Amino acid sequence: MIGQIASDLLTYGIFLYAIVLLLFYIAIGLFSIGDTRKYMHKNSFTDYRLLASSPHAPSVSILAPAYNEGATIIENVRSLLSLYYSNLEVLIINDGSKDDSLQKLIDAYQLEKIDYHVQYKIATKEVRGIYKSKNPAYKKLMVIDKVNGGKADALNVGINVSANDYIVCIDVDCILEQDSVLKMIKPFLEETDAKVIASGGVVRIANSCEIKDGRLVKVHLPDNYWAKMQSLEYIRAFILGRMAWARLNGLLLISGAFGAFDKQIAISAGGYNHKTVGEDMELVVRMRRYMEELNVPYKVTYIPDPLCWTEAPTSKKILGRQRNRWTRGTIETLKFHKIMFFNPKYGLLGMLSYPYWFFFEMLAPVIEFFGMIIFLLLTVFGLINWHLFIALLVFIISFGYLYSAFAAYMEVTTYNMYHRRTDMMKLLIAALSEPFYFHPFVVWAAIKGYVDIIRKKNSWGEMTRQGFGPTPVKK
Amino acid sequence: MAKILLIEDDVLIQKTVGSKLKKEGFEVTCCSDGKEGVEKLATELPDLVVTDVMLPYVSGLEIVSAVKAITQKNIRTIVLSTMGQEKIVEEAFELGADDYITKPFSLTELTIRIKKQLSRT
Amino acid sequence: MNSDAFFRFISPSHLYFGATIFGIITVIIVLMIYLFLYVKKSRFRIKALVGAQLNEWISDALTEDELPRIAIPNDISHYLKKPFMRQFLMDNLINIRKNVTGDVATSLVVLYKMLGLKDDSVRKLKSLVWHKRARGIYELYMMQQKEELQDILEYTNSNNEFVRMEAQTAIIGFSGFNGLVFLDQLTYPLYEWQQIKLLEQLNAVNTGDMPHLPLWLSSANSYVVHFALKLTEIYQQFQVHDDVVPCLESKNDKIRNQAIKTLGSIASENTIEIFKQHYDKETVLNKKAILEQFVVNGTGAELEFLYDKLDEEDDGLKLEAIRAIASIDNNAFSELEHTSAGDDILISIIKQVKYENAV
Repeated sequence: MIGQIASDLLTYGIFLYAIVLLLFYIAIGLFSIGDTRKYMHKNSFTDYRLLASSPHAPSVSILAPAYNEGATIIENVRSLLSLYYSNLEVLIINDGSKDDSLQKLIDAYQLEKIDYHVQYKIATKEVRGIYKSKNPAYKKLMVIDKVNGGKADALNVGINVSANDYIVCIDVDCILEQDSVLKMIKPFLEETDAKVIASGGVVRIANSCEIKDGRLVKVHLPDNYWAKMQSLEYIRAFILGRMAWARLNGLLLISGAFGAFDKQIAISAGGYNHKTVGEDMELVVRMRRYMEELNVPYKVTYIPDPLCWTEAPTSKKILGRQRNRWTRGTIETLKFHKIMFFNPKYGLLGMLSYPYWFFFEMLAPVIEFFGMIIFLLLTVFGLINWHLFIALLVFIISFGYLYSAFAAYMEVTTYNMYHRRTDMMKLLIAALSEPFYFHPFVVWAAIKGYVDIIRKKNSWGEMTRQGFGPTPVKK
Repeated sequence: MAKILLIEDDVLIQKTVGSKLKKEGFEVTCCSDGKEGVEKLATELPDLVVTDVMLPYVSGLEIVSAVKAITQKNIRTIVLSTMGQEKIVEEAFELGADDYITKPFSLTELTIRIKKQLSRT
Repeated sequence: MNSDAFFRFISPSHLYFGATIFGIITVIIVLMIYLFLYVKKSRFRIKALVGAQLNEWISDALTEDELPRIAIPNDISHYLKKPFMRQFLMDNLINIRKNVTGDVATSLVVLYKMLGLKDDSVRKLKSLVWHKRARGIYELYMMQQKEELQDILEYTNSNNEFVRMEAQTAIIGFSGFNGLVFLDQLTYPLYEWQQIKLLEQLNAVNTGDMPHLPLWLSSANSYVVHFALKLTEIYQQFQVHDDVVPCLESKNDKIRNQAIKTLGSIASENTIEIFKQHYDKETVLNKKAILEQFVVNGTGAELEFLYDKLDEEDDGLKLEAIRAIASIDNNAFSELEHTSAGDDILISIIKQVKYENAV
C-alpha cells in the first residue's frame, strides 16, 4: 500500500516535471522566433563599419587571459589586433604561464616594460609588469604579466588595468569574426531607460572548420561525433534558448568565451569570483543581483550572430570533465545567490530565471538519472505498467527530435552556417542518436559533478586543447 | 607604366577602382586581404600602394609599415579609408604613409593624387 | 484524481498519439529545411554565376568617361527579372555608393534608374511592412532620390524605430544641419547608435547654424538633450554655455557626463568654478570626467583644488588629478614627486603620468 502511494507520488511528480519542462521548451521555441526575425531584418541594413571608424564610438577593452598558450599566442594576438574597431585596447593577461608566451610576445611585438599604475579596484594576485609596443602599428596592444591565479583572477586584473568603458572578455584561443566587437557593442548603444549591463554572444564549434592565419575561412560540421553533437547542442542553446531568455530579459549565463560588460558595473558588483569554477555565469548573476538590489532598471542583451568560434572537446574524457565543471559551476553559483530563489524582491530574476535554472538546469540530470532508475525498478517489480514507461519514453524522445529539428530549421533560415546539404543530413542523423548515447553521457558527467562537489573538489579540471592546426587530413 | 598595388577587401570597390586605374594607364594588381597584400608587396615591388585600413588578417597600418620596411625601392603609399578620424590618419603618417583619402572618395581625385605621388619618385 | 483515472488520461495510446504528431511535425520541418536549402543553393549558384560578370560590367560602366551607355548584357538582363537578383544588384550599388563620390556616384544613380531599381525602391516605400518601408527609405536616400521622399519629416517621428531611424538619416543626408529640425518634435528615443550615425553624416557636410539648440537642450525628451549636448561639444557652440549648465542637474548620469564634457569644450571664465562647486555631488565616473576637463582648462588657481583630490579613495581620481597638475604646471608636478616620497601609490601614478607625457 505504501509502495503504491510512493510510486503514485513519484509518477505524478515526474509527469508534472516533464510537462512543465515541455511547456518551457515550447515557449522558448515560439518566443525565439519573433525576436530572431526582427534581429535579422535589422541587421540587413545596419552599417556596422560606421562605428568602427567613428570618434564617438565608446572605448572598449578586450580581455584575453592566457595560460601556457605559447604555441598559438602570436597568431591569436595578431587576429585580435586586426579586429575592426578603432577605439579599442587589446589586453593580453599572461596568467603566470610556465612556457615562453611572454618572451614570444615581447619579441614578436617589440614590447617594452612601461610605468603603469595598476589600480587594485578588485583584489587580485600581483601584477609583475605591463608591456606596450614600441611600434605604433601595435598601439592597441597591452600585455600584462601577473602571478598565476586562475582565469577569474586574470580577468579581474584585466578589468583593473583597462582604461575603457566597456570590456569584452574572450578566450584567447577563440576565433573571432572581424566585426565581432562592433556587433557586441551595439546593444549598449541602444540603451533606453534600462541600463544595458552586459551583452552575450554566440559561441559556435570550430572543429573541422578550415582555419587560416587565425581566421575562419570555411565552416564545416565537425566530423567527430562528440563535437558534432555539441554543435547541435550549441545551436539549440544559442539560437533558441538564449534568444528567448534575452527577450524576457531573464538571461543568466553569458559564455566565458565571449561576452561584453559595462566595466563600472562589473567593478561595483565585485568582478569575477575566483571561488567558483563557473565564474562566467556567476558574474552575470551577481551583476544582475547588484542592479536589482540598487533598484535600477537594467538589461542583459544577447546577439545571435555567430561571431566566436571555439574548439570543442572531442574525447569523452575531456567532454565529461567539461560538463562536470559546468555542473559544479551552476550549483555553486545558485548556492551563492540562493536568497533570490522565488524571492519577489528580485522580480523576474528571482521568480522565473533562477527557479528555471534550479529545476531544469541544475536538477535536471539528477531527476533524469534517479527517475530512470526508479521507473526501471518499479517496472521490474511490476508496480507500474512497463507499457506506459515505454510510451512515455517514446513521447519524450520524439519531442526532443522535434525540438532539435526546429532548432536546425531556425539555424538554416537565419545564419545557415552549415550550407552543405550533406552537413545538415549528418547533423540530423546524429541527432537521432542523442537520446541513446550523447545525452545519457552528459547526464552521467553531470552526476559526477554532483559527486565531486559533495566531495568538495575545487580544481578546474585541466582542459587540454588540441590547438588550431591545419585542418586534419581526412582519413 | 607605373605599377600599383591595390589592397581593398570589398571586391566590387576593388574592381571599380581597379578598372578606373587601368583606364588611366596604370598596371594594377589587386588583392583582398592584408596578408596577401604583404606577400604581393614583396613579389611585385610596385611603385605605389593604395590600401584600405580595415582589412582581414593584417591591418592597413601594418601594410604601411611593411612598405616602409622595403629598402630596394621607394614605394609610395596612399591610405584609403572610412576612418576619416584624425587619430588614424595621424598614425598612418607616423608610420610613413605619403597621402590619404577618406571614403567616400572621388575616383578622379584618387587618380590625381596617385599621379602626384608618382611624379615625386 | 486517483491513479486509475490519471493513467487512463495519460495512457500509452495517448502518448503514442502525441509522439506520432511530434514525428509528423518533425518530418515536415526537415522537409522545410531541405526546401529552404535547395532554394538558397540555386540562388547562390545564380549569384556566383552572374555576380562576377555583373561586377565586371558595373565597374566598367561606372568608370567610363561618358555616362553609362553600355547596354546591359543579355545573359544578365534575363536574370535581373528575379527579385532576389535585383535586390543583390541593389545592395551592390549601395555598397559602391557608400564608398565613392563625384562622377562615379552620378553614374551610379543613372545606372540605378536605368536598371529600373528605383521603381522597386518606391514600391518598398509604400509597403505596409515596416522593414520594407525602412529599406525603401534607405535605398531612395542612398541614391539621392529627394523628390520621392517629400514626406520624410513625418516619418522621423514614426513609432517604428527602423522607419524612424532611416528617415532621420535621410533628412540629414538631404538637408544637413537644417534636417535637425526633426529634433523639435521627436518624442521617441534617439539611441546613441543613431546619434553616432547622424554625427558621422553631419561630419561630411559643412558646419551650419543650429538656432534651435537651446530648445533641444531643454527638451523633455532626454535623448534629444543628450544629442544636443554632443552637437554643442563637437561644433563648439559657445553661445549656449548657460543653457548647458542646468544639464548638470539632470537625474541621468549619462547626460551629466556629457554635459561635463560639453562644458569643457565650450568653457568660459566661470566654467571651472562651476565644476569645482559641482564636483562633490558627482559619481566617481563623472568626477573623473570633471578632472579631465582640468587638463585643458585648468590654471594655476586650480592647483589647490587638485592637491585635495590626491586624498580621494579612488586611484583613478588621483591619476586624473595628477595628469591635470602635470599639464597645468610642470614645476608643481616635479615638486609633487618630491613631496610624495614615501607614498607608494602617488609615486607609482606619477611615474605613469611621466611615461605618458614622454610618449
